[in-house]
Amino acid sequence: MNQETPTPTAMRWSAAWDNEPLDGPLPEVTQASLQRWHAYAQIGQAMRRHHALAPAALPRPRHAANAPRWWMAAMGSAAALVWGVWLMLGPPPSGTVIVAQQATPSVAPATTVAENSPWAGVLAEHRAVSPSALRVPVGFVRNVAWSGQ
Amino acid sequence: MNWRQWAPGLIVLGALQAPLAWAQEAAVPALHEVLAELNRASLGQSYQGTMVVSAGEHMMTAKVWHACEGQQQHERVENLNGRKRITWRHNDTVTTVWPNQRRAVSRRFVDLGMFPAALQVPPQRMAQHYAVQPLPAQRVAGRQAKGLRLQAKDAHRFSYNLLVDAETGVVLKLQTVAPNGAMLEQTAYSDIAFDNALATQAHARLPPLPEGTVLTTERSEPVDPARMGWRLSQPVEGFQALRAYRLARTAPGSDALVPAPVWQWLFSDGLASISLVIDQDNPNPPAGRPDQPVAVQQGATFSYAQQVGAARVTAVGEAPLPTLRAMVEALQRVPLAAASAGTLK
Repeated sequence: MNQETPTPTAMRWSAAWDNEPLDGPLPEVTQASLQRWHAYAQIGQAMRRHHALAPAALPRPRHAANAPRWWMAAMGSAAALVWGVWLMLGPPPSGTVIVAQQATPSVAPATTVAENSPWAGVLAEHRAVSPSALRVPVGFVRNVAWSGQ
Repeated sequence: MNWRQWAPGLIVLGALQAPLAWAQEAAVPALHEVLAELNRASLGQSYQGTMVVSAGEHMMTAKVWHACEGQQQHERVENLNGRKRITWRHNDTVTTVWPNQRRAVSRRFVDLGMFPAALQVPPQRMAQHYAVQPLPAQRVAGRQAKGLRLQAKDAHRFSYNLLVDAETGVVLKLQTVAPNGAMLEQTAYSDIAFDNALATQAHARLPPLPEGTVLTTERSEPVDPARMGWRLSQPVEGFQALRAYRLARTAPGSDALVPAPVWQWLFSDGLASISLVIDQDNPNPPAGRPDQPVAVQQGATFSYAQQVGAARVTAVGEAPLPTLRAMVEALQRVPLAAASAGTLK
């Protein structure tokens, strides 16, 4: 039978739990001490539930939801939300053309457009003359490849 | 744990993050530096390779020879799909030959997107619409490549993924990406060699045309849109007018230039271009439903055509369809007298 006295072990673990300084390593927790701690915890919980005794260790106080700091945080969140929505849906900067939102015609793929068709001519001419800092020399090759269809 | 316990850790973490973020930002070059480097690399190298252009299920390949001899640039591109066609470029003059048809077309361009002419749009303005972002390095055509993304800052234009040869700076792969993330078109070398400059230069030069080849000459004639009775009320932000012209070509067996019925107004934001092709007096709009706009896509190039009064206007470019539509709808017909007066001012 284990003759361990619960007080030193329980006190040392309690001190460790509360971040209090310890003068040595924590004692080993045995099955018996765990059962004993469980029994004490249940008794303490029952006693606190019936207000027979003030709790030995009160939970860390929480701020009420009507405290000023909570109101400030809530207002800050709401303002951030409104700002985000405005950024997404608000008016664009001046000078920006709003691209037509109404239905656009369905796009016909012209990857196999005949070389002598008007579309092919328009597409090829654009690619031939369109300047781009990226199209050197990739763009020139690209024009030839597409026009060769 | 209260805030006094984790606040110092947070401060230390923030202090560590700041220089890391700064270093990452410093590693990404500015847009004008990227473009200058791309153009410098392409102008100073001789190479040959096979280029693959793919869009959706379609794939085209072309053999490329690119030679630089001092200020002289020669390029030969021979498509390996479809009807045989070889194009030679010597600086701004391009000659295209269809050997089986014994036909050739020669044309001198105002500019072919060569640096610095391509940068008629100031880099500062381009930087308002594109941001440079790093991409992971990859291996392309057997060579190590650095990754860069030119991210469009709005939905009016496409973004570009670039893989640039780590050694020479030549673009090995270019991807055009739609605002919704869809990959519209990819252009990449499947193989490329920089090692035989003399052979490349020999291949890239235009040889004498085969006997019996009918040569057509094309030329761009400048056009003043105002004098043609047109103005653009408000182009899509970032796109600025570069030039307007009408193409003229010689008739078979004659040296006289015949102007085309349409003229073209070119806009660019520096990376993407839009052409407005205006068929000034089109008495015969397309059969069926002439009032209905028509859209066509070919890889990353979109086209949008709409009847504007008696004129048929087609916007074509590497830009989303709503952007092309906005350009067409911003086009306005103005009285010729007012247009002339405005020009004289």
